[in-house]
Order: sequence, then C-alpha cells, then structure tokens
Amino acid sequence: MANILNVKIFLWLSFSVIFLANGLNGDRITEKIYQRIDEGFSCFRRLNGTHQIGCSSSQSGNVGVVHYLEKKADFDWLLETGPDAPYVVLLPPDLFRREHLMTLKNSGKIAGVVVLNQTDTITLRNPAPKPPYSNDLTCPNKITGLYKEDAFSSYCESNPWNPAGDGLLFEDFKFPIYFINETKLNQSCYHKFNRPIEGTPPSYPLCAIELKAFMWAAVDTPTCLRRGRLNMMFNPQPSEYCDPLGNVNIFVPVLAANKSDGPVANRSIIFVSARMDSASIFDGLSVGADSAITGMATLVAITDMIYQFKSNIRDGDIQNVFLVFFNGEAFDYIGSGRMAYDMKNPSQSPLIGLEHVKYWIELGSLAPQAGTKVYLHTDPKSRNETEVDTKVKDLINILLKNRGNLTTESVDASIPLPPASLQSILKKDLSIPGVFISNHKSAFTNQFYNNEWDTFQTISSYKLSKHLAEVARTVSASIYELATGKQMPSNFQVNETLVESTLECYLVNANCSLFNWLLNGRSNLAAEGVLPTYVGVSHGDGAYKALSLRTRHLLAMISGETLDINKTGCINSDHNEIYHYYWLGESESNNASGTCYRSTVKTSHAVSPAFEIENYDWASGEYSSWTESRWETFSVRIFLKASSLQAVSIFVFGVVVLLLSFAVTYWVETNSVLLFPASPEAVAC
Amino acid sequence: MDIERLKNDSKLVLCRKYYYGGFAFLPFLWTINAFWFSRDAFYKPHFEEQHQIRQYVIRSGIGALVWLVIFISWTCVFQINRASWGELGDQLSFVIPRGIP
Repeated sequence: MANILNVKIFLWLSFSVIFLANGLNGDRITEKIYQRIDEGFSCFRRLNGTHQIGCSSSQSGNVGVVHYLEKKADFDWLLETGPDAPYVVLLPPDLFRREHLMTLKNSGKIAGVVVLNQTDTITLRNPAPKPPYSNDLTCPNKITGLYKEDAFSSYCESNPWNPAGDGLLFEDFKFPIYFINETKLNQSCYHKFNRPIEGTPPSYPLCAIELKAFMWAAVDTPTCLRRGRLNMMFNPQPSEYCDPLGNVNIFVPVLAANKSDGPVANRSIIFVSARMDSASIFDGLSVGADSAITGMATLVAITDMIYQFKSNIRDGDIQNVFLVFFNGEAFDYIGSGRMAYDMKNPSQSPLIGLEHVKYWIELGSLAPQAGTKVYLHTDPKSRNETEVDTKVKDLINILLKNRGNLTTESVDASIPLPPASLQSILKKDLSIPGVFISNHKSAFTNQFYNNEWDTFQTISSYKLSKHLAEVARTVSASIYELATGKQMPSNFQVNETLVESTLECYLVNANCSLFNWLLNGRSNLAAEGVLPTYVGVSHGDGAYKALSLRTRHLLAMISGETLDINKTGCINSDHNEIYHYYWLGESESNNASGTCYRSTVKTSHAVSPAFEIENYDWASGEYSSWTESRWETFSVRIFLKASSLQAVSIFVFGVVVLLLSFAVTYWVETNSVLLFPASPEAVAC
Repeated sequence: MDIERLKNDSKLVLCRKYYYGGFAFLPFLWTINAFWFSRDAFYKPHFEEQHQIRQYVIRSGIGALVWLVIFISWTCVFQINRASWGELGDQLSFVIPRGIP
C-alpha cells in the first residue's frame, strides 16, 4: 500500500516538474511557432460597376518564403533560379512600381508582396519612392467626369493631368500586398535565414511569412450587393459582402437659411468648395497632404474670414455664401455627385437648388511645390454660352484684382477643367459660372497624387502656411467684392495661426491640442499619428469617421456664436433645421469648463446616388459606383518553415509509430493471459 | 425494423408502398427499396410473392439510378456554370461563396 502511494507522489511530482520546466506563462503552441507583426497596412478589395480592384489572400491566408528584393537585378535571381516558390517578396518603396508588380504577378511564383518602410537610421526619413509617383490613373475620375464623351475628352489623353499615374490602384491582384513599418522582418527573418549567398539558394529551415487578407466580395458592385441581399434572405448567419463607399459632406451656410425666409432668389448664392479625402492602395494610409488637405485648410481659413464680415454679405444681391467640404471625391466624385444630384432633384425639394448658385469657386491642391503661382481653371463647355462666359470672366477678373501678393494666372479658356468637384456640378447645370483654383497649370505639381506618400514630408516648406493664407485672403476678398461690390477693408485678416494648427492636426499629429480642444479631451487616439482621409464606408446613417467628426467640430467653432448657457442646457438644446449646438473646449487637465457654440454647420450624405436610384445602369458611369469588400481580419505572422522533405518524413514517421502502436496493442491484447497472470485478489472478487 | 420477421405477403405490401411512394419525387425510397428487398427478390428460395417483389425491386433500382445520374449531372453543370450564370447562379445557391466569382 505504501508503495502505491509513493508511486503516486512520484508521478505527481514529476508532472509538476515538467510543467514548471515549460514555464508558468502557459504559452500556446501557436505562439511558440508564429511571431505576429502588427505594424502593417493591408491592401484590400474595392469594386465598381464593372470590375474588382485591389488584393485578396486565400481564405486561410497566403504563405511564402520571404525574399528581399533590394535592387532591380534581384528580380532575375528570384524569377529564374528561386527554387523555394511560392515567395513573399519584400520590396523597398522605390521598387513598388507597376512594371515590377506586373512581372511578379505574371511570374506565378509569388504568394504576396510586402512593402517595407524602413526609416533610414542616418537621415531619419522614410525612403519615399522617387517622385513623381502616383497609383491613380493618368486621367483621374474621367469616367464620371464632365468630359466623358465630348470634344474635350481627348484633351487629357494628350496632356495627362497625372502623368505619373501608373493605375496600380485599379489593378486586381490575387495575392495580398502589405505595407509594413518594421525593420526586424528584414534583419531577423530574411538576413538570418533566407539570403542567397553568391546566388546559391539558402538551405532549410527558411523564414516564411503568412499574409491574411481574405476579401468576401467578388466580381463587381452589382454582384456583391445582390449577393448580400440574397444572403440576407436565406443564410442563417446573414451578412453583406460589400458596402458602398461614402461618408458625409460637411457644409456651412454662412447666414442661417431656412424655409420660413421665403423663396431663395435664383442665382444669389456663392459656393466655395474643397475636397477632404484622398486615397491609396493601403487601408489606413491616406494623408492626402496636397491631394486634399492644402485646399481644405485654405477653405477653413476662408470660412474664418467670411465670418468676420458676414454682416456685410447681404449688402448687394448676394443672399448667402455656402462653404462645402466634399468627401469621397477620389472615387469618382462621390460627395459632389451626390450633392449635385440632391440639388437638382425636384422630388427632394431642396431648399437650395443648383439654380440658386451664382458662382462656384473650388480650391484644389495648393501647396507651393513648383513655385508659388496659382492658376485659375475654367470649363470651356459652359463658357460656350456668352452669358456664362461673361460671368466667368467677371469672377476671374475679381480674383485677379484681389490677388494681393499672390501671382495668379488664368489658364487658357479652351482647356478643360482638371479633375475637380466642379465637374459634377457642371454636369448637372452648365449655366453655373465656376472657377477651379490650383497650384498647377497642366500636369499636377503634386508629386504623389492620391498616394500613401502624399504626406507632410513631401510638401513641407517654410512658406506653406503663409501661401495658403494668401490664397485664402484672395478668395475671401473676392467674395467680399462679389457680395458688396466694394474692396475688402484691410482690417479683415487671415488667421495664420488657424492655418498652421489645421495643417498640424491634419498632417502631422491628430493628437494635437486643437483637436483635443474640439473633442473636450476625449480624442480616443491611441498614439501620435495622422488620421487617414480615405472616405471609407457608411454603415447606416450618420456614421462619422474620426476625421469628419473633427472637421465638423472645427467648423462649428469657427462659424459658431458662443452662447452663455451651461453644458446641460447646451447639449439639450434643440438641434433644428438651422442651428446645431456644440459643447467645446472642456478640459479636465486645464480646468476649463467649456463653451456652448451655436452653429449652422451641417452634413449631408456623401453616398453615390447610384445606390439610391432604382434599376441604375451600373455600367453607365453616370455616378460613382464604388464599394468596399468586407473582410474579417488582416494578419501577418512569420515562422520557420522546414523543407518539404523534412515535413514529409516527420509525417511518415508519425504514421509508422501509429501503425506500430496498433500492432503492439493487438499483440498485448492477444497475449494478455501470459503477460498478466490472474492475481489471487482479483479472483477473490 | 427487421423485415425478416414479416410474412411474405406483408413484405410485398411494404415493397409496393415504397415503390409507389418513390414516384412522389422521393428517390431515396427507391434506393432503400432496392437494397432492402434485394435478398428476398433474388437470393431467397422461391415463394409466391417473389416475382412481384423482384419487379418492384428492379424498377426501384432503375428509378434510383436515373435519379442518381440526374443529380450528378446537375451538380456538375451547376458547379461548372454557377459563376458564369451570374444572377441566376446566385439565386440558385443556398450558401453563396465569399471572395470568388
């Protein structure tokens, strides 16, 4: 009896020792095999009326042996020798170009691509690809533009607006592509295990990587929407396959506009607009510094100026000024297309229709990249009408007259508009006199149009905010003159600090003091960084993206009047047709209690009308038809991969052991009488 | 149920019920019938109802086989063409696959 007890204690002890030896943290086996990499941004799938673009992995993820392509010559070794296919290639940003991607795609040896963004240890800058570099088309947004099928449609082919555009954004890849800020990957994975030495392939074990980015949608927008609809009916776990791109347009009627004021006079409102979104291949990487933010920041400054003289606006025959921030413009003019549709649609009975627009001024890219000259673009199609042409000339003359220290040039009247929201507006009503203000005459001076490298780093200059302020002053002064017929008095000044802090918040660090002030210290941003401007998807109504929310509050602060009421009173005030109430500037750390702002800032849906119109012809290109596929996870992990010979031999060994154990068990079973003689105690039972 | 305990006439009644039941687009009844009564139909020593049972078993077997061919051909046609049928393909699917045409 004592013996048995001893055996039990011994067994228990030895098990404990084994557990202790394995460590008390209880790691799972997966954690011992795989090492997760979380610093990645993935390419994903988008769909339009006719195509799918972007990337997708297989459902269980794509696995490949890691191979670093440092220079062009490395491609040859990989494609000709490279015995360990499939590979996942690591590319420095400058090699992430169309020609190379197409070679890799067509080679069939590739399971995925990782763009490795390694900060240079000496310069501390990120090695951006050599400019100009853009993954958009050479003629962005042409399909839904104003000049789709007329005499001006060929202009862009011979004089592309975006000559650097390689169209990679619109390519369909069957493998995942990641953008990773991580240096360990190269050092501890590729250099340690996989680097071929003098062309000799490395030996196993090799460092492999698993990229997971499985997309649910396929084919095109009508297909994935239909599948979502059918799925909702039958599937026990219903879900959509894709969602329309869209968010909100934000607009500020400078003077309160409501229906009780009586009908708005035709051609009595000045519109000033800019876009606030851009795009890139990778999810979460779209700063859009010059693609969007320079124009947007200028419009913010203009808003601030116009509020200084808003009491003078109705001195002449102008009744109001509207400041509009469009969203989703990078994807075939989602925001402006929708607003033009709503303003033209009698069934919506819009308070302000297109017939009320007197002038339309749009701000495009404005960073002083190639000189500080600013160009005024107009549309030759609408200027065919003498009446419109006269008004456009008036508008240009007033802008030129108020240019101050700015050098401005009016672009030849026969040249069509560059990609601009104004195109969607004119598409619906050619009698609107409009001007598009930008920093380029022919091709974009923006070196990274709609690209992940369009960041503060590439447009940063000492004169940036001064230049934008100057443009804002010119436009504001012109609006003043258009409205009142008089010169703007010099006491109205641009708030340059506002321009600077806007640029800081949108381009350098979204955890800035201005944004924190606007959100009462509850910005909920984990770390320093920039918020992406990509329009994203709209799940249901009023879904705000982080950036739209901040922009709306910023405009509420600029355009709002402060009210002397407490927080509860402010928050509970009736949000009505004209006014919304905002409680801003509360801060526990600064002991600031906050202020109530009453503002006319409004939002409108920026979702393409294509998703509302019944029986819309998806191939027509009338409106944007972009959707984004749904996905479950993005994940990247590395592990050591044994050679297939080793893997197979381990498996075979396992099978042999299994069979052997069957044989032994059988043998023991048949000879049990000999092996275990019946004990006298058992007999006694 | 152990049909061996049934009397031969009851076996015939049962076999006939399964045979006629199969016409209501229930090929599984025919399949079961063909296997279940094959011993009585072909291997048992002769008894009075054996001839009729054998007929039902043969016909059920043929019916089941025809259904099997139809099923397999339809599955092949559907799987090959689902993607190219577009909307029809989705409407005929119970679970629409993700990520592929």
